[in-house]
Amino acid sequence: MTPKKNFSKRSRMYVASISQMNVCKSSPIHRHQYHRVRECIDPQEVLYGKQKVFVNLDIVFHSCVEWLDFAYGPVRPGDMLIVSQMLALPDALLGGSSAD
Amino acid sequence: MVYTLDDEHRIVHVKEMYWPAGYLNKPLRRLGGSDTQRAALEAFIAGFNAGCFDTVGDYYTEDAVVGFSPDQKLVGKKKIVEWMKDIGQKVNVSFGIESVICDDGGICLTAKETSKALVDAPDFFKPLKSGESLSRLILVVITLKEGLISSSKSVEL
Repeated sequence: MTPKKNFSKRSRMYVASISQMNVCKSSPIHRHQYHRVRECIDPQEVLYGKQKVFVNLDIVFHSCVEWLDFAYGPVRPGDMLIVSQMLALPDALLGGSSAD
Repeated sequence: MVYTLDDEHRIVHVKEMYWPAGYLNKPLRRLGGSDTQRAALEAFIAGFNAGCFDTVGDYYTEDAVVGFSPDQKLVGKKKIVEWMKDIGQKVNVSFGIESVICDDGGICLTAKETSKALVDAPDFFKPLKSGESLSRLILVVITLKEGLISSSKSVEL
């Protein structure tokens, strides 16, 4: 079993939005854009503060093709590439009121 | 990544920081039921179809067992990869997934398997002559151990 992550109530909003994005990327519209290398975002930790959201996340790229000049490094079919990031987002982003 | 915004929520400054995978986060389980793990399954199949067998081998546990029939099975990642490479030199085998069910414990899928002989392959499960091709529908049941394939069985439908 994959370990369950305990996110706070507000933080779950962010995690839910990320999950939705991962699902959307497999939709026909996004498949066209992402069919070469699928990008999935996996939040590890989410901290919700005053007017800021801090997210420790993994961005996982799954490659179905050879893409030697891929931005994060050369990939071949079957390759998995993980980029870990810490993001600090303004709270306004959660409401979708800015920075789109 | 830290964004500094002005009063109109426009980005005025960005700071980025990267660190090696696994430095802070838990190791990722490759295969399973999540969106990421389903994408990994697609990449796994694409890797096999492209003949990247060393990469495909990373999806198996060291003691993985692959069974084709009651009397034919391969034990160990090294043997499985060697077998793939050996077959790959004679027959071009590719899979197209028709349906799949995934969870953290295992994967069950049906796939169209297409085999085209590059040279005479008398020791293939069905002997093929150079240029001959074979297509069939198979059911594959995979058991996962910490996100890697620990056993795999396939039968023709």
